[in-house]
Amino acid sequence: MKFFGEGFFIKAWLYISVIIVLTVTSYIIFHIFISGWSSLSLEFLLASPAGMPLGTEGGILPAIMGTLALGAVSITVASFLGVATATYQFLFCRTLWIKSGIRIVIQCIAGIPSIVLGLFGYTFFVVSLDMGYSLLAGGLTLAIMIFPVVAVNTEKALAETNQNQILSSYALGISKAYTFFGIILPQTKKDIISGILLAVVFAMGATAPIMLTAAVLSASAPTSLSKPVMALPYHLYILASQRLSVDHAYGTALVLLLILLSVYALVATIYTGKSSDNL
Amino acid sequence: MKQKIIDKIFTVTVKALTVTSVLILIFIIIFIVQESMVFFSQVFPLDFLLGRDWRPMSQPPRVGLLPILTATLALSGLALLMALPAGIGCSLFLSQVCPLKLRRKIRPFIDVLAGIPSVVYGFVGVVLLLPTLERLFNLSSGDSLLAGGIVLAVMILPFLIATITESMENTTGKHIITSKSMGVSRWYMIRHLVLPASRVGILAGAILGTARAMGETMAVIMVVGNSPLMPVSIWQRVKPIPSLIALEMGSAPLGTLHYHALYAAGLVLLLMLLLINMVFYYIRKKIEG
Amino acid sequence: MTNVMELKNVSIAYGSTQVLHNISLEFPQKRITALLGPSGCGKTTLLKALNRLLEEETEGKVKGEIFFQGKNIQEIPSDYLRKKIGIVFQVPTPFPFSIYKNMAYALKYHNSYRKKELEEVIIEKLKLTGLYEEVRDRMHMPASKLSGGQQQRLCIARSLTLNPDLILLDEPCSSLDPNSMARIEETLVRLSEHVSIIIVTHNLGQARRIAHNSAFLWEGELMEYRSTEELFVQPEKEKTKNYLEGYLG
Repeated sequence: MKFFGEGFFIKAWLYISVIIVLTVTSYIIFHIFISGWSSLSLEFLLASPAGMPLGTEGGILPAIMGTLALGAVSITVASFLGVATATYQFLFCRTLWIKSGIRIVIQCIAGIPSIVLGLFGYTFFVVSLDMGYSLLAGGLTLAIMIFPVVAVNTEKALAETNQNQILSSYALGISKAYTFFGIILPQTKKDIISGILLAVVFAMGATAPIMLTAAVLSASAPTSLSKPVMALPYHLYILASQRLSVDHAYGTALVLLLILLSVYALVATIYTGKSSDNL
Repeated sequence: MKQKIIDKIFTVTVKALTVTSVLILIFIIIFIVQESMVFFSQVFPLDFLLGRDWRPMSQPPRVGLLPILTATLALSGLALLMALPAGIGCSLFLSQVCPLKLRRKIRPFIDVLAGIPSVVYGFVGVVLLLPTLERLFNLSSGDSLLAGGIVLAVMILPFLIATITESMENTTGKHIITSKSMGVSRWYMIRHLVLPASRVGILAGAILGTARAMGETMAVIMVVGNSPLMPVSIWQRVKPIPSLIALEMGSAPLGTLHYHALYAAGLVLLLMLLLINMVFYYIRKKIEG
Repeated sequence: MTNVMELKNVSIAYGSTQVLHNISLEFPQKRITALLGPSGCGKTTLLKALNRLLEEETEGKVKGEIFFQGKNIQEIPSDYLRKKIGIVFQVPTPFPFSIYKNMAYALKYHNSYRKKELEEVIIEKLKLTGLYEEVRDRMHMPASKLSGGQQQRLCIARSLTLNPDLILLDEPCSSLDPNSMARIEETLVRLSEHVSIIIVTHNLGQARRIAHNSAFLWEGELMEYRSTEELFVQPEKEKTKNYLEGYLG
């Protein structure tokens, strides 16, 4: 093959780009895995932070639980907001400009930088509503950040339903609610759930919204909505930026990645289940 | 009838929640504007934007945003400069050269990459990038504009690749048969058809990538040194707006000028993002016109 | 003979496009009326307006008055109206359930039948469309596994479950083979003894075979409306003549 012939520069550009990108990304991921693996002892996973300064010894259990708790709170609120908004656009909205308007609103919210949301969350939830640094304040701030993901994915899922089936249902005098739960939801629930899971991943990895509303270096396991929590991303940030413990930082990063990857794996299984349905 | 009650609850809930979502946006905007206005009633906007000194703790406090504003733009610009060539190259590979089966396997991989939290990128920057820079260039500290740019470039790459690849696939899909039937080689088609036709897609990716980079907090904050100096060299420390807010919010007491200045900085960031999106919208209209 | 439906000066627009202009029609009870005309001249839109289904789609605006059994349809609650008017679409659209569940779906929503009563109604309606014998052993099979003709007959049977007075059909046989078409035509003729039928069709032969009256629409306007025999044998308008002889549309 004439490698040095026509299109040499473009070829070189392509292949060099791909090599650079692959190398960099694989290196990053492998590096974290390899360096962090040694920190993953049972103690690390199950104990609370200890040592002086705090975090240099002990474990990250409260952070793991805190991250999961923040994910749970935020996704509950975000699912309701996101699915409802998409459902309204799909089922109830007859005027085109309102539909587009809502879409623009959601895009705008998605475009707000997470730190600005954190700023808002601090002043509004933590101070004005007097929630203090709390799981609830953090969860609500995160919910605002992620509900556009749910809304967009749900809208996509709903758009794929068979319009004639829906019309046939209305034609039989069936209400929108019954049609939604009886015809639409069974077809779309896999896509909607995938969208929700993707949103959870987004929430659990976020630092900026929670550093001003919920996250602290040391707290006990989350038992109440009104107390501050530990969270893996924030813990990683503190450990790394203040150079407290490189080993524990690697471990924290690895645990965070593993949690996120398992959710991605869950989404993948939902999808393989879906494609075998259609066979 | 029981069903009628369920129907009613469903309709009311859906409508109420939708209204809530819209109100959330309006509320956030009003809130931020309000808190910023307290600042702007005491400090002239132009002084804020063009002031070169950020020392809110001094007496009298100096709140000039220019170094921070410039740092934000410089970081994104640098990131884009580094990421775009590689991003376009990879997109070309994926859309033109890569066999379909492999492409399907790579796509989820890119999505996962895009989902890696920014704090992890920042961490990797601290433990890998900074020491490397320090060794390679004999620096005492790797914290720099360059480090920030590199980390951001890596972060926005998956995003650029996804957007641009999609645009290129659309173009190729439409024209590849015509092109092949004219006996044109693949490389010729890339150079003379795909690249020009993907201008809008590339522009879209670039603009959205820039917006993403400008709003990014955690990846940058850990490697960029966080000194509010005017960016004149890529080796120096800088402090972009998101880092400013994240680091100083905790220590700015409620109601002080410092506190409201941070809100004003947030507003400036939002306005810049709005401007970028509007420019994008306008350009797209022009090209597709 | 009273009319099951009446249209008075009905015009329908989709957004800025005018689809139907000033249509006035009377549909007699317990008869089959055909709506003829080339594609895209608004026949489907007209059907959807009759049971107020058009309201569920964006941007359709209806001017003029439509009466069902003497009452303005805007004054009849839409769920009641839809119980009285059934509709079958061009492409068979069974719900993604079993045959049994397809039939039971609307019944369960509107009534509180006991299981035995439910089964009786379902069997009765399936028999009306001649489908019962073919599916009696496979009632819990997914409806999507039926042939096209069977699916369409299922859709007709499904619309019968609520005992409507009128059934609207939008080119129900256009995606079916001749055999299925014959069976459906036979079903419709039988049904017309109890139920009024309005059928949109492309198939001139079909109109001649089963429709008592036929209306010819061209570009959103009503050209002619007479008994089918008269329309075919002695069309009044030039356009009708051209259409029937195959020179148009």
